[in-house]
Amino acid sequence: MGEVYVITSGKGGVGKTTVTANLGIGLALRGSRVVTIDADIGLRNLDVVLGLENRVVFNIVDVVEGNCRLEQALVRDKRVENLFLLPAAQTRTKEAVSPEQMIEVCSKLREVFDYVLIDSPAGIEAGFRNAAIGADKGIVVTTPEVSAVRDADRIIGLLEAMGKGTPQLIINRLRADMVERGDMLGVRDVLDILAIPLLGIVPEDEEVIVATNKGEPVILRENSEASKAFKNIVARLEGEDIPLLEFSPKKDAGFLGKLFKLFGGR
Amino acid sequence: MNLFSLFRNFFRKGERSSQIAKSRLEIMLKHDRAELTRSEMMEMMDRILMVLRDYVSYDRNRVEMKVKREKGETFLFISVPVIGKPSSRSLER
Ligand SMILES: Nc1ncnc2c1ncn2[C@@H]1O[C@H](COP(=O)(O)OP(=O)(O)O)[C@@H](O)[C@H]1O
Ligand SMILES: [Mg+2]
Repeated sequence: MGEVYVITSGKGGVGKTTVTANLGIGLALRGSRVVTIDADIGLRNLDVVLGLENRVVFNIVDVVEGNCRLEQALVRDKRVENLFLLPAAQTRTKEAVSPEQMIEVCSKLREVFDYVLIDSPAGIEAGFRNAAIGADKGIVVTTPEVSAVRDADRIIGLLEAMGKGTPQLIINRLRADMVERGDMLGVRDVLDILAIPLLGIVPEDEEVIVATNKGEPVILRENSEASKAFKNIVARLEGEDIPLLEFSPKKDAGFLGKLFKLFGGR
Repeated sequence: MNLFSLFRNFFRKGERSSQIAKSRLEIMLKHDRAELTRSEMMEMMDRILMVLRDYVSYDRNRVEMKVKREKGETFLFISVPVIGKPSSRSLER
């Protein structure tokens, strides 16, 4: 029986899709069988970030409407073995899949896969609830910005109220130089406020955008900071104890420098 | 990072924007989590403090309120630094 995670945030544009794609590839590279589900129906883009847009034939709405079998809708990744995508429909609305149908899809997939990763749409309404309903646990993504953290707090409350337990946090797009200057919330600040376990920190990294342009998630690039960060998150998901101070914000920063910059704040 | 920039940050005049962000967030989340507007919360605190005044004297400036969430439940924490007995106890009227 696989584990079902929903990757969510409340606020849009903070990196849910990027996280889902990279964790999916990372977990599959380590040998797990992984399926990612694009639950952002009507605004599908997980296929694009994964570079699989040309292989999409059927989608999740076709599955629940009986136009195809679940296996037929799964898109196999071209680079990594054991990674699949269940695409969203681009031309339908969120109501096209009911909560019951979502639960059923998740429970079928968890029989075959080790990990089911659901990329949630932004917002706190039906789309989010549908994405979360079939999941065991949540991963909340935020950036170190006031509105993103505020929305993350709402989502944490909603996940807990849905009985999904306390989610884990990924802080994305952290800029160590700005934290050091005192112009960005540091990791400590965000953790003080949200008070949930930290799964990982992903730095702001141009390589993410380059990777997205090419449809090759950044985790596949050897030498980028974001790639290292995602690999560490993947290892933590698999139960490895990887320290959180993993990447050096600037090449010349010493240990204390890293500590100060990353954890920043007060 | 060098020692100089560390010191400069330490003694920099004015609040850093990250600290402003943090304190704004703390206030916002209090209201979000407790589902109380600013005026409701102020009224509630005033009424609670009015009751307390009959029993203890406290440092009004250091009264703090926090709202925490745990496992789907919301908890209100109000901390009131007690100085001693009130000077005139209205109870003994
Ligand atoms: N760590 C990062 N560094 C730089 N750009 C990033 C990072 N994470 C995400 N982005 C960019 O931010 C944008 C929004 O990310 P996306 O994953 O689509 O967010 P969401 O799914 O939450 O709406 C994308 O253009 C993506 O390339
Ligand atoms: Mg997205």
